[in-house]
Amino acid sequence: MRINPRLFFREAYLSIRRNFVMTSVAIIQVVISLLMVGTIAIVIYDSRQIIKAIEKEVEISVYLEDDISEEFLHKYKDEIRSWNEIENVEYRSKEEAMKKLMEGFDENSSVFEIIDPETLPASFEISFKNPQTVEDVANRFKDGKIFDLTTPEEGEEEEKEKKEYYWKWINDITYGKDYVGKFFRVTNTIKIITFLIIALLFVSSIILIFNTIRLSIISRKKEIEVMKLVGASNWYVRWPFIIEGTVQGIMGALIAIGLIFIINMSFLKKLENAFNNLFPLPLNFAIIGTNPLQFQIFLLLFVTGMLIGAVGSLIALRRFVKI
Amino acid sequence: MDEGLIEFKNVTKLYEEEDYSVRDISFEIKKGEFVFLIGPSGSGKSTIIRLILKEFEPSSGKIYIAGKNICKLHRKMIPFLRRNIGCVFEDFKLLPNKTTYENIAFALEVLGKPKYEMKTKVPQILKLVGLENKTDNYPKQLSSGEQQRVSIARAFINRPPLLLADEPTGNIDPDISLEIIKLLARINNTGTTVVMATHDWSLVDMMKKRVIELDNGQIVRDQKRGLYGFETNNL
Repeated sequence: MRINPRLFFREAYLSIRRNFVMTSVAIIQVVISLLMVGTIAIVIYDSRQIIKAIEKEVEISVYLEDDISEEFLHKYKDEIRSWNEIENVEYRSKEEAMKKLMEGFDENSSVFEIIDPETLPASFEISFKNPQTVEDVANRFKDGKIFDLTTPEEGEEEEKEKKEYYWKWINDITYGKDYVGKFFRVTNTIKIITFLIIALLFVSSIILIFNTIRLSIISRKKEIEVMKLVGASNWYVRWPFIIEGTVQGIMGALIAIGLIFIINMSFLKKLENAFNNLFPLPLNFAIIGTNPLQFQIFLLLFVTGMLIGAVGSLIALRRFVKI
Repeated sequence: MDEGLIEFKNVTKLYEEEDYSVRDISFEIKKGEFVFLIGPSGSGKSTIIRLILKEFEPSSGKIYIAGKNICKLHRKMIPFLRRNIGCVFEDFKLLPNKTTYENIAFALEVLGKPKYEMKTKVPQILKLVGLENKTDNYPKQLSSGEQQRVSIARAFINRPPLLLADEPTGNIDPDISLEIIKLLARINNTGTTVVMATHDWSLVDMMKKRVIELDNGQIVRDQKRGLYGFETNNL
C-alpha cells in the first residue's frame, strides 16, 4: 500500500490543533508530573550528597604509645594500608597533633599554658572508602586481629602473648562508637525514604501521564471506530495517535525541563552554594557540582516523556484496534 | 447478477442477554439486490450487519462474502474486507473535527490514494449527494439529513460492491428520509448491493424490495417485493 509517512504527521498535527484542549491537558499533566520528579530528584540527590560527605568525616584515630619504634610504626602503617576498607592512613606526629589542636583556638589562648604538647599522643588517622565499615575495622583493632601471626601449631598461650606484644604500642582508638551506629541508622533511613519517595513519584507520574493519554484516546474512540470502518489498517490507525502521544510527551518534557532549569538557576543553585559555604565538605552537588547531575536528569525526563507518550498511546490503543 | 454476494449458513451469535442474538439463520443475498432487514429492536438486525463487517465472530455457522468464508479470514485481512463494504449508520459516525470534504476524502486517504484522486472524486460524489456547497462545513454545521448524506458519500466513494445501512433514517425527519432512501436506491442502480436494516415501515412499503424479517433472532419471513407487514403498530 502506498502510504506516505508525511500523511501521519499531518494527521497528528491537525488532530493536535483541533483537539487543543485535550492535548493541552495531557501536556500540562506531563509537565506537572515531570516537574515534580525532576525537582525532587535534585533536592534528594543533594541531600544524599550532604549525608555522604558527612559520613566521610567518620574516621578512626589510633593513638600510639610514645615509645613506639620506627619499625613498628611502619609495620602498623603498612598493615592498615593493606586493608580493603581503608581509603587513607595518615600518621600524625605529636607536633602535628598540637598544631591541629591549635587550629581551633586563638593563638594567645590560655589553653596552651595548660597543655604540654608532649602529652598529646601521635596517632594514625584512618579514613574509609565506605564509612559504614568503620565499626568492623574498629572491632578488628579491639579483638587484636591486627596481625594474624598465629600458625596452627602454636598454642593459645603463645598466641595471646603475641597479640599482646603487637598491641603493645597502641594506646587507644576512638571513632565515636556511641554515635556512629545511630548516625548510620539515621542516614540509612533517610536514604531508604528518599529512594522510596522518588521511586513512588516516578511510578505515579508515569501512571498519571499514561492515564491522561489513555483518556485522550478514549475521548476519540469514535474517530478510531470510523477509521476501522472505512478499512484503515491497524497501523494506519495507530501511527497518528503514537506520533501525537510522543509529541505530547516531548513537549511536556521540554516545558518541564525548562521550568526545572529556571528553578535550579534561580533557587536551588543558591541553596547549594549556601550549603557549600556552610560545610567545609567536598560536596558534589547536582547543579554546581563538577559532573552536573541536572543534565542527566533532564535527559531522563526527556526520554521518559517521549517513551510514555509513545508506549502509552500504543497500550491505550490496543483495546480499540483489536476489532 | 445471479451470483451470491452474501451467504449465511446456520449462523448463530449468542449474547449473554437474549436480546440482539441471532439463532440458526440462513439466507443468501445476490449481487445487485436491495434488501431490507426488518424487525423490532433487539431482533438481531444490527447483529447481522456487524457479523458481515466481521466486528465479531459468530458462535457457530458460516458466513460467505463473495464466496469466501470470512470466519476464516485472518485478523489482519479485516481492513481489506471492509474496504469493499460501505457503511452507513443511524448516528452517521462522521468525524466531528473534519470538514465534509475531509470526512469523505478520509475513506480514500486510508487506502493511500493520492491527493489528485481525492480532488476529482470527492466533488463528484458531493454532487451526487447534493452537498456541493457544504464542502467546508463541519458536521455540527449540517442538518442530520445532510450529515447522513455525507456519510453515504463516504461509504460510496470507493464504489464498494456492498453497502450496509443500519437504521440510516433513524435520526432523520420522515420527508428527508425519503431523500436518503432514494439516494440509496440510486446507488443500488449502479450495481451496488444494498442491505438496509430499518423499522421505518413507510419506506419499506414504498420501495417494494426484498424483505427479510427477523423476530427474536430468527428469520420469520423472506419475501421478494415485500411490505413491512400487515400490522404496522408493532414497531
